[in-house]
Amino acid sequence: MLKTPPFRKLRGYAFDPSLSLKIDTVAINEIVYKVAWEPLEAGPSGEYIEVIDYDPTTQKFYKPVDLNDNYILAQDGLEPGESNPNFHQQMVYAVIMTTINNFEKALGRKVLWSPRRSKEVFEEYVPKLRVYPHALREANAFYSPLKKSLLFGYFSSNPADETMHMPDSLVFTALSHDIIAHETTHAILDGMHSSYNDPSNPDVLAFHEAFADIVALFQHFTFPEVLKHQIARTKGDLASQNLLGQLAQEFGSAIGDYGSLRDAIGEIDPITKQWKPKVPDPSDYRTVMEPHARGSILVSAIFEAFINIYKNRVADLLRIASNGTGILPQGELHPDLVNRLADEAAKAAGHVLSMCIRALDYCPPVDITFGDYLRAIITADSDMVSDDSLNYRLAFIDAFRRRGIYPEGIKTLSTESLRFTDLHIDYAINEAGNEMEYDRKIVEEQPFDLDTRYLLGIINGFLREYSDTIKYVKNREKIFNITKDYIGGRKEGGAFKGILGLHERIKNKFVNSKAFSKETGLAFVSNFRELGVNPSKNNWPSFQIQNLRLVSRVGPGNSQINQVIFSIIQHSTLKMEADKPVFFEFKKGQKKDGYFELAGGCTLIFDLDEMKLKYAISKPLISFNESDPNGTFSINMSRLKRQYDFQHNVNGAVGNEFAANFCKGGTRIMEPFAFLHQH
Amino acid sequence: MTTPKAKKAAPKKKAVPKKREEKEIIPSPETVSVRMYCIGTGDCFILKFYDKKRVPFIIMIDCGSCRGDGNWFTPYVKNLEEYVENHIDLLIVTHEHEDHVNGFAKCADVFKGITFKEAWFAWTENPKDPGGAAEELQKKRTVMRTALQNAIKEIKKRGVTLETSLANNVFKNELLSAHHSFVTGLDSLAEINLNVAEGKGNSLAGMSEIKEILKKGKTKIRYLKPGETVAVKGMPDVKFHVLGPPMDREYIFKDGKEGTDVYKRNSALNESILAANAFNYLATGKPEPGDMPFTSEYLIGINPNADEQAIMNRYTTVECWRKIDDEWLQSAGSLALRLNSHINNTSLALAIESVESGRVLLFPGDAEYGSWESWHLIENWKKKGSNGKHLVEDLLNRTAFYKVAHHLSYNGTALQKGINMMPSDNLVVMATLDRDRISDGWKTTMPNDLLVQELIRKTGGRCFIMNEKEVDNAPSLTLDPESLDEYVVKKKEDGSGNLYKQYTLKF
Repeated sequence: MLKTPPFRKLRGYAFDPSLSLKIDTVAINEIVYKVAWEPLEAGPSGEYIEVIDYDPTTQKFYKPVDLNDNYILAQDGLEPGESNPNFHQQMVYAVIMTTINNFEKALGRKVLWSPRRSKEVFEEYVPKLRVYPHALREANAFYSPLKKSLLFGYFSSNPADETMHMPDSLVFTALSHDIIAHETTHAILDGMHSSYNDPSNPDVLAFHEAFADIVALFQHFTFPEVLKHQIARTKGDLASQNLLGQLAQEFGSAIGDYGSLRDAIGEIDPITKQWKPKVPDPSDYRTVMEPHARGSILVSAIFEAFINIYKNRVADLLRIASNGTGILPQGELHPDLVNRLADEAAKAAGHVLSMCIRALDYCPPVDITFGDYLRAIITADSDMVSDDSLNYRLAFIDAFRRRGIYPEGIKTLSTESLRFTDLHIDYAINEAGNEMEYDRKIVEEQPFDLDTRYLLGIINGFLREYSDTIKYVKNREKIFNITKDYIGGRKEGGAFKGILGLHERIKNKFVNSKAFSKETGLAFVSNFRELGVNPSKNNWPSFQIQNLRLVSRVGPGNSQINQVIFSIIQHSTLKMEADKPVFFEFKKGQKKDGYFELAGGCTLIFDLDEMKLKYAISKPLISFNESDPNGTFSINMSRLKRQYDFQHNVNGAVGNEFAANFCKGGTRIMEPFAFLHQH
Repeated sequence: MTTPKAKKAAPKKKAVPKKREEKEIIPSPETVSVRMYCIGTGDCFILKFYDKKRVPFIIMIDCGSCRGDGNWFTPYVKNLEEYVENHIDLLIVTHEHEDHVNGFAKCADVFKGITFKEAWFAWTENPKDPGGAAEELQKKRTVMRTALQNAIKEIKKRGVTLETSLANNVFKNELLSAHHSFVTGLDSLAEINLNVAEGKGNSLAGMSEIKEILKKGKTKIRYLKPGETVAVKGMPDVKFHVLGPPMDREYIFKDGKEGTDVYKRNSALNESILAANAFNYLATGKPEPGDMPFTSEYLIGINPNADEQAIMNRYTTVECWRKIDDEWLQSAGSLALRLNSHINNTSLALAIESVESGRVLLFPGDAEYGSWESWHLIENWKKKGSNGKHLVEDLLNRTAFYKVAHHLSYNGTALQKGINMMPSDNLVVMATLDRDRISDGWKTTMPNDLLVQELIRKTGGRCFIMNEKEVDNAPSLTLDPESLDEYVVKKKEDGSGNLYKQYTLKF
């Protein structure tokens, strides 16, 4: 009896078709993507995605490819080519699945698409991302959060460099590895942090862009064939590290705006004609606001960290190869050395990519800044890898520092201070409901009183139950439904049966908890109405729970983490009058004109092994008035002012010409990614 | 009515010793009065170059406004008619946008009564341009305009049923509002780029009309190319340097950004050609076979197999909320922007130089960044300026008057290759922006606050905006124009705003 094969091999472009026309890159441009085997229908349509090749501009369907066809299976997929739409379908499938696989490997759990909101169901499960390879006639491709779809365009090229693209020839964005990986990342990120679509500060959309580009970029470096070829070709230039930078930039230059993110990495010196890394300008982070340009600051920071990590990793190899002189002998490099160097680069790239992806679990649910992201990277990595012997974390901190990206509210830049504060809040009862032994001294130092810790113990028990239930479930729909039940509860006939959800529990336990309000920065206080928070049906302050997930990972050295993470989000509706907030009162018939929403949120990380609430990563909606003897809360003015100034400043919020002309009116932008690459 | 104004406008003459013989005196120009009609966002200028004795040499540049019908135009054009006494020595039509030409059509009768001695257009308007480049551009322009008309029609048509089709959508209000602002943006661009009344891709009425008038009047017409320096009979001591529009297609389509020019992308019309073709199918009803991206063997035929039927069903009947029938129409937005920039960059841009004083008047039309950049690359002007500079840099260094390009928008004035090269002493600028008379679509980009502040700084407040309404830190707060002898402002008779603003400077 034959087993199902582990992979389906599919040929595709490593970059995009234009590189197959150049003699020095043709050899590396066609690679074989190894995609985890899954049953497929024509389309292709599998567990995660369905390709539907409908072209609305001509109102025609293109025939779907059947990747199970014997002839196709026998030759590792269709031969790469621009004129066959069936190959386009194969290419998008291969790259999207590769990207998903990279995320799942790093996160240690299944990728879920962001649920659909409809009138019937608040959050409806979306099993498959839909992919339209020929949906637009322009140099654009985007992820639509509304339709849970990727739309790719094609256009007639008018290239800057006519030696790369034939003028007036057709260019298909669905054939570019970078564009496909980039857009897929937008979709995956939306599934994890849907609030990152709302530009509440200049970093938010820039982060979306930069993160998508980072994934596309580092995915290239995990293809060893590509690296080997390039390293062998540019013998001797290894010590300068410029090779990888130049490569990274060339990867991104093929089509339109996708390359611009990487322009910050470096440039060709006009005199020496050599590529050189760009010296970072710390003032850029303060002055550059357009999402792409700003995103490029983050991309270049991460890239610099990668280069330094790679340098560290190959230092010994270079010493061995040069007999300690640092000068490599004339002639071709030894193929073994090429292999080892390529391996190290691929490994470093894989690590950096995983660090970047894992950090997503440690980000606040709203209003992300680059500084928050740095802290998340450091925290996630510290939790996973206790011994940072290769100075990965330092490489990141240094690269961010050189670009003037400083997280708020920390005094010094070090691994210790950047790591989110470990709260060490342990519970008063264990998950069986029994009182726990505790150290009296620690209790007194803790911000939480005994009652709150008692309640946290109950929540912890509930989360452990969730963890036990979800741990071995592999079916994505089941994961979604179980998680949904654990958040919202399972109701039958109006009453909770079986599961009382996390939302209900938090409401019941913490609805009037100063300690919890202080730690999360959210309004679990009696005067929530005066803070513009919408009262729910039963007159509790309304809030949403997002993204409940089990994070179970094994790090190097067998360190293991078992955490349950979820985020709470809350909104205040208000307007500004003479620099003072005026709150919406939620009276019947009251009009929301002129009002806007300020979102606050907090990501809570419960450590199942250490039995404690470990981190509360907060973007506070409210702040505690320390000076007030009655201990009241008021709206967080500094966040409010920042968001207001950003969203009401035309030059800052608009970003690009397309948006300036066509996306006005102060309403929520429904398709934030559709216009990001517009030109 | 004109007499007091004319007197005021005329420079105070110094007592010039009459030594030379009357006959020989071909007076060199000393001053020029620049009159900006406050016609609404859009250009209409009269320049009077005064010599010592003779009648002034009169140049008219453009006549158009974003808003207004014939009645609105009448008081301005009537004043113009009297001011020039039915005679214009040189008419300059910069480019084919409504806010620069529609006055010619709306007040055609007035212009029919004016004698134009000579008229200048950019080479892109030359129907017999050798090499055919102009013809190619015009053809493309027609295709793009037709496509944009068709796209807008279709978008509006689908918009009618949008509310019903979104009835069950959670985001109904947001989507309707997004649709609305998209249509507003398109309308704003259509208003100046398209012959909306006619609904096709043809030339704008104002452009056709003025060409017709000139033809009938047997006016001498010249089409100018960059790198040319020309003179006119009446003012031999004045050189007209043609800066743009560029001949190199790359620059016409270039869309640069302020300062460091962040995106070096070629905003080529061609990139929209596929979308344009598809918009045009919307009118004809079916695509042309040659324009399909793939050969027909890859299309699902009329007898689909089971797999094919399944795919079609998934799209058409299952999960209808995921259909993408309308998304591609958004390309109309980039098409419109591209068309708009493209036409702006075909602006006839002139530097008018006084040989004697070396002072320069800069009238760039609505040239955008791509055009500005190309000026500095004009081959035969290399090292022709003082100290071996490129002539354009030298001319910018000597600029005494600058008509701000593209109504104070962010890409209308190049920074490093433009304003930074202009002198900071005695510079005077005028900008044709009136936020009372402009469509909403333009308000986000006009004015660019940073540009306004830079202009005020450079000119010490001699920055005259057609209407300062809604301009933050307006120039008049820095310098009260009423306190200047050289400045005249005339109100309209009915009191509804200004008729014109005028400034007289040494030339």
